[in-house]
Amino acid sequence: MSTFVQISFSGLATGAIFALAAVGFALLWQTAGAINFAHGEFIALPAVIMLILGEQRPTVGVPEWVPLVGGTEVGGPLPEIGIVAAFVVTIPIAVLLLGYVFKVSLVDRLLTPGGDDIPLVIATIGLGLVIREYLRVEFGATPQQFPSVFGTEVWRPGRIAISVDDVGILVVSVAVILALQLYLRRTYTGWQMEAAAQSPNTARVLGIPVGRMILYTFGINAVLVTVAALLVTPTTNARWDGGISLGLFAFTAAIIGGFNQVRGALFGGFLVGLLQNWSGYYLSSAYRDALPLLLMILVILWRPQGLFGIAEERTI
Amino acid sequence: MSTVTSAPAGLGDGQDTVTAVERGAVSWRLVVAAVVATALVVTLPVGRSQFAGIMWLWALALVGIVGCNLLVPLSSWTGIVVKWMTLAGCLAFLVVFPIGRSDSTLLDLGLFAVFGIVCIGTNLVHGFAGKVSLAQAGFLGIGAYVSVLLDDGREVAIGGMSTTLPNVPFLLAIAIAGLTSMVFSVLIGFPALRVQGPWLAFVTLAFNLLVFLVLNNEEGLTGGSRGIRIPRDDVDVFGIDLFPSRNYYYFCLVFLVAAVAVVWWIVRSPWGRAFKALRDNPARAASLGVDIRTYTLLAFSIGAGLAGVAGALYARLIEFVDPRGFYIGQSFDFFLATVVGGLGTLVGPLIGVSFITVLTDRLRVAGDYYRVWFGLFVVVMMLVAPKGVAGSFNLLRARIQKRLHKRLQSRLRQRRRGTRETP
Amino acid sequence: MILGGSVTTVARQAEKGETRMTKVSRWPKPLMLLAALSLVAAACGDDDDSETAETSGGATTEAPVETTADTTAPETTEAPVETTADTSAGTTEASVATTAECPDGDSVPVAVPYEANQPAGENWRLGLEMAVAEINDAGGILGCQIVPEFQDTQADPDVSKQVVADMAEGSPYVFLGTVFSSNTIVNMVEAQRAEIPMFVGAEAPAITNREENGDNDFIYRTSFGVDTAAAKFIDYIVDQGVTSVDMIYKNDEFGAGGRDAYAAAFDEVGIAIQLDIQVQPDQIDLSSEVAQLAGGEADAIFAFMTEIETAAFLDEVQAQALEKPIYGGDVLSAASTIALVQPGAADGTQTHAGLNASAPVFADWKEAYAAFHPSANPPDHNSIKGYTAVYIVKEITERIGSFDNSQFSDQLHCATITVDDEPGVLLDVSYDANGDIDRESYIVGVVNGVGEIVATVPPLGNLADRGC
Repeated sequence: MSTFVQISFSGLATGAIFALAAVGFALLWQTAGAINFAHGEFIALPAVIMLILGEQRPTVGVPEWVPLVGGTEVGGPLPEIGIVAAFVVTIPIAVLLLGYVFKVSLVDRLLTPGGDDIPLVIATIGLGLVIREYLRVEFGATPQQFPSVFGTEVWRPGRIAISVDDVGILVVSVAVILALQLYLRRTYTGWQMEAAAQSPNTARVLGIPVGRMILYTFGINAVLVTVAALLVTPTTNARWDGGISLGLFAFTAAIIGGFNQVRGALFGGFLVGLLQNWSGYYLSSAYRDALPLLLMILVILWRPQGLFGIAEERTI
Repeated sequence: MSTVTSAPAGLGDGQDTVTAVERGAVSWRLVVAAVVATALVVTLPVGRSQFAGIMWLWALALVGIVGCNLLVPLSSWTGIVVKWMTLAGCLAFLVVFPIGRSDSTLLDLGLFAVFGIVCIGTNLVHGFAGKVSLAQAGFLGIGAYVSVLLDDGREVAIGGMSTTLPNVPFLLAIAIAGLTSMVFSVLIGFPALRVQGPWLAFVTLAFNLLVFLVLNNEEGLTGGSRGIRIPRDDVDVFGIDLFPSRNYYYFCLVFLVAAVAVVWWIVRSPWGRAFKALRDNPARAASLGVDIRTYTLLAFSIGAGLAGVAGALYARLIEFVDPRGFYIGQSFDFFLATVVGGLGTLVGPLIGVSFITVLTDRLRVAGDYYRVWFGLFVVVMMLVAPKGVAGSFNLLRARIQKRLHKRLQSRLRQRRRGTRETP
Repeated sequence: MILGGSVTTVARQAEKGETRMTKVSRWPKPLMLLAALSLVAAACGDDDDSETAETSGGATTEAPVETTADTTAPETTEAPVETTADTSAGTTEASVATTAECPDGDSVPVAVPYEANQPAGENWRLGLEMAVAEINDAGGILGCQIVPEFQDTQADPDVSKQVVADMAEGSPYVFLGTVFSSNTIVNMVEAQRAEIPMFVGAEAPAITNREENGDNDFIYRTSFGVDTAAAKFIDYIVDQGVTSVDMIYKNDEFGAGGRDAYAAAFDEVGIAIQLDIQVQPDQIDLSSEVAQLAGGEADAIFAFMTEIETAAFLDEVQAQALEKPIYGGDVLSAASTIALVQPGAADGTQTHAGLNASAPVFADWKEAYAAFHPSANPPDHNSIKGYTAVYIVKEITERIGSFDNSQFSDQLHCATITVDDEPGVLLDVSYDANGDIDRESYIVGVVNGVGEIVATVPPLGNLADRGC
């Protein structure tokens, strides 16, 4: 029994990681119709920026070209400000780069209303490649340890072990996702965003600034990936290809949970984390990833709105 | 966009009588130019003692061919001549080029041919039937492993049962590989093809991952993650030893040409029209009595079958199979190649494949950042040419011909005015 | 299709349909095929061009020879080799009068195909760069500067085959790489066909097994094959009173290869394997696997994974307070792993380390490494492999007395290189007749986050049994 509790708790914590990664992906798809195959890399990039700003390790330092742009060389090396301060500094950078620049330079040009969504998909695959390979060449292929904001302590109530980091991830991700859900459902801006997402033309007629609402979405997504990077990277380590598997399970979680609800990503993430650990323990660790994948196929085929989504009309 | 695209059709239909004389003169010169240029392109790369001057001449000839194809309306007889000339030239080029080339170039070309077959299949599924499949690498893997398992009387064990597989001649193994992939594609496609767009992409992606898991975990069957080495030295077909790289490349080329021919035939056949109707407007196609399910399943399974055949060829080309070669990254590559090359065109996928095989290989000289450049290239390609190389070429041709057509008409008008005035 | 906004979707569908209906699909676009092919050709042409340029830019007398040889090269795979042999023979004859005996001007080209996107490949390159710089500073090999050409294989078998085939055309003196076994198994065939010696960091047993590698005389390890490592480690494990183990390994070619070799070794000495657990690549949550181990009855745990998974495993072991001795391959106690784990999580693990940077013999080297690569991660066994590979090449070349790489196998098989011969090999090393090595190695235990030598394992010293 204690084993069951143990692996279930770990599964929930891992699920929270997937959920955090998934929610931004789901949000962009839902509100802007943009499928972002570079989403995993969008989480890997802020993690590295935070490491650079926060710790100034010799292995992960400021890239050579940056002083040319920002002139930091004049002021000497950057101070070590710690990971939390680095997180605060990274948010505006992420909003600018992964929110605004991404939207203006790629999404706006490739996702014309009524157009094909394939070019954007391909472009994000290319973008993911660019981010990944740039990180590799600049900072090397060796994974870097990333400090946890919650510390490394482990509680041992009874025979099970609960690490503070896991609890922290769980609490924060549930809080973030519920807050987002409330924001979208209970505030005026949230309603406007939802309306803009569900039917841009009607929203426009009603005087909702659709363009600005979509821009907000990209901003929120950028903040979400930065939060995800802060919480997830202590577990996954900062590395150039960390986005691949994280992105994959984020997709799986988002689809299983359901796209049209932000909370779907949360439940989907939990379910994926739990299924992996349960099948890893009770069935076979070789096929621990197979069960979530099978579930994803079944969900798409028989309940495309997701297990926790709300059914909408369906076009063939 | 749509008006531009439809312009040349009008050009071909209405104006034939008016422009026959005019075009005759122009076209005749064009045909000669195309012939000369093609001949140059085909013969020049032979031998390795090229110097810069010849390379320039060669590039010029290439530009000439591209120009001829841009200028000639496809519907005219000159268009047909130029078209078939160019096609024959391409084939001749593929045959002649490897002479005197090294093994590594032949390996490049071999990969081009093998992945070309896969992407032609991807294009049939996506470009013609309008379904996004991200499982092509999975089907490639199924084909590769089936052909490898059938080569040497291997003993396999799965789920506690063990048996000895027969030793099957290579050609037959290729056929079985293709058929096995088709069977699997029907199994996954039958339930999956009712969903659309990104959803289908995710189902096929999951399928590909499951294939990877099975290949990686069923050690009794596939040897697991260690892979299987499969030297080519025991393979011959009709008495031809396929061990030398050049022979094997020609062998793959035959399959590539056959794949192009099959898809060409499908697209022209009533099936193909059904495919196109389906892609353009499924609801309308259904109302016209096209059996959507059957036709998409057909396209999907043919695409998978081509990937399976390519898998059998791939295994012997690399002389090794391991599950990581058939991971989803490879599927993304095929998807990317097909779209960047040009969806819904016959040669688009081949152009795209040359990007993912030859271009990335040659980009390596650009140093550490070469993968970054490739990623940027893909992003920029999508920004400037979202329809891919071939699709954008079509648009360009349509625009040029529209302009030419206008000029021609105004000249004719002038001449008519002139003839009226003279008497 | 269900998207967030179904209205959008429908609208988009409809519009899409319309645009497509009007589009007249025209085939063929033969010219595009041509453009594609031209790309192929242009690329290959470039390659040829650059080669010609290289040769003409280099020793002028050689250029015509090579070019003609290449042009007439028949299709057989042996061709490039013969050419090289011919040219080099010609060159040496011609150059007897002069003193220049370098293969290319005053330098010796060395091909380095490596996994740039993997820690193992990266460290291999860093170690190698250091050795090359040292040797070149000291005057090079036989007075010739080493010019390494680094090429990324993306850790992808078919790319690595392409890369090695490509590099073989440039007739490098030796290949240094690759490190991944799945890559090496595929690409070593190309080096063998080109008859160019290849030093690899890969550890799969099959690589030097003459029955499986097609009697390859051109393949040489820079570290133990994992089967050799298992043979050297197993006595120590038996001495610890272990009678049964639970195995946990990464489910890829590296982990499964290690697992197989050690399972065979355990079998031989009668240690029972109870649990046999796989960890998926990139798996971040190992709680269910560690829970299985916690429920196991075996005396000890044997772990064979790469850095990421090992770190996650050790963290989870610490969290679940699993108190069992843990043994494993080099990675378990490597500095690169310890850098990733929670403080104290790696303590108590014991590994057999063929080349462990924390061994005292490497202390000076480690300092030099840190000085040479100030911004690199601490060196691991792959850095040492890459470093020593260059020095082994240097020593053997000096024994041959010229850059005749056809004599490599005669010279290196069954040879012993001591630190007195060449300090750069760091440890005395012997080669057997298959290209496997034998040398001293260490049992490393982690204490307070630092690997410490627990015991030294002498060389197996059974070269006579291994074809010598």
